[in-house]
This record gives sequence, C-alpha cells and structure tokens, in this order.
Amino acid sequence: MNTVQDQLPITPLAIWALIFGIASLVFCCLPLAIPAIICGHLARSRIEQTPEAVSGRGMAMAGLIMGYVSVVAFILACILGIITALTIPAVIKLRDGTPRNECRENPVQ
Amino acid sequence: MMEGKVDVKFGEWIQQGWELYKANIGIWIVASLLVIVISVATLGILSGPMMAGMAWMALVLVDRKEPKPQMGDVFKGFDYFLQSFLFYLVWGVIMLAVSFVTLIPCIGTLVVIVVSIALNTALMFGLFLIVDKKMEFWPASMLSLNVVKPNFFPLLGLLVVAGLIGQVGSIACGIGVIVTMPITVCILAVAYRNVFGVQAAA
Repeated sequence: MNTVQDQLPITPLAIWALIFGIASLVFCCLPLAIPAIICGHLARSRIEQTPEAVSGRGMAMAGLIMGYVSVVAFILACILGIITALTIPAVIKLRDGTPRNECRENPVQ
Repeated sequence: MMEGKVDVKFGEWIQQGWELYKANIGIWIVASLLVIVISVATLGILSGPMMAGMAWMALVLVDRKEPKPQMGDVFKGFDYFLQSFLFYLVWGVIMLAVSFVTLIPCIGTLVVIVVSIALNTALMFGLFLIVDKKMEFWPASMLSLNVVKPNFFPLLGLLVVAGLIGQVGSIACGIGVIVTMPITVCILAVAYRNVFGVQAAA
C-alpha cells in the first residue's frame, strides 16, 4: 500500500487546485473556478515533467473536475437566468391582459 | 483468493473493528468530519476519494503498519482519485437509474430497496480493493461481486449490522454519524482483510 510514489511531496499547485475547486462549488463562484482549472492543469504538467520528484495527480484532477463542473453550472445558471428574464415579463403581460379582454368580450348587462 | 465459502465471524470482526475505532477515536472523528463536510460541500464529487482515504487509514490500522495514520491521511484517498471517483459515479448512476422503478406502483419501491441492498452488499469490498490492490474500479467491483456471491447472506448480515451501528449516530440530529460512521469502515476493513488475506496487499 505504501509505495515510493506515495511518499513523494505533493506539489502545492495540486493542493491549491483542490482548495479552489472546493471553494468554487461551495460559493458557486466562477472567479474561483478559473484558478482551480489553471492550477490543476499546471500541477498535472509539473507532475508529468518530474514524476520522480512530486506527486498529487489525484488532487489536481479533483480540482480540475470541480472547476469545470462550476463553469458548466455557471453557464447553465446564466442560460436559465436569460430564459427566465425573457419569459417572465411576457407571462405577467399575458396574465394582466386576460381579465381586461374578458371584460371587453363580456360587457355587463 | 477467497472465491469460495468464507467463515463470517460476526462477533470477532465487529469486536476487532470496534477495538480499532476505540484506540484511535480522535483521529477517526476528525477524519469522518472532513469526509462528510467535503463530500457534502462538493455535491458528492469527492465522496469516492474521501471514503478511499478512510479505507486506506482503516487498512493501515488493521495491518498494524507503522507509522500510524494521522488525520491528514484521509487525503491519501486522492492517490486513488480516478478509480474511486468512477466507482462512486458509475454505481451511483446505476442506482439512480434503478430508482426510477419506484414509478411502478406497489412493487416499485420494494424492488428498489432489494436491488440497492443487494448492490451495496455485492460492492462492499470494491473500494478496499481499489485502495489495497490498486485495482481499476470495474475489475474491483467484479472481484467483490464474485467473492460476495457464494457468501451473500452472511456478508449481508454483517453489512446490515455494521451499517446499523454506523447509522446509530443519525438519531442525534444526524450529527452523531460523524462519530459512528468510522465504526462501519473499521468493521468492513477487518472483514476485507479476513476474506482476502494479508498476502493480497500490494
């Protein structure tokens, strides 16, 4: 279970990727997702360049996945927001107009 | 490898699991707190690697290896990130798909309960195999399934008892799970080591 690979120091970039990734999900914050993705990619490339000196591939990948999930969630939230902003005024207009039309169509006595 | 009948020693394994927990209770509570908080905060994305970290700690304690695991070792699960993540993702999606059976009136809920109990029992050693033998998630799942199949009911009994002990804490507004969940992990680690043997360790 304990191999030499496990004893290598974890690159700080991988730890930062993980921290930013968790924070981006907790606070639903795009500005935190971007550093998570950047740190994750940098950590992965550093580990690939010097696999005998540093470890932390798992943490880097976790940070990357959470960063990308946050970005996708942000984009979906934006799309949902735009759709809501476009449809709600139309729905309100329709609801406000309905009784008036009914009155016009059905004059009292 | 044990692919035949296994002598499931309920009392002995539960006792050993409890002893492991009791001797390192402080480390277990902090580790459990970290696992639950990070898993919930990340919408379950990190459940797999965090639980893999707990499994790693439990196996180190079962094997009486030195140095003893520390609180931060719960992050060791990230060494097995991809496989543990896929293990939780794939079986989680399968369970989600199965849960749609509840839409069938009358028998739907019963079918889902039976399938989820069977699946949990079949996969009870999956995460330990990923951590201990560095297996990929699918072969680990299949090996766990093959080992559990001939011993299904005794191991189901063990899982139910261990699970009930682990869930006792949920009575206290759910917060107690932090204290009791590691007991389940310790019992399952003892069971894993007895079923697969020390030689299986990589």
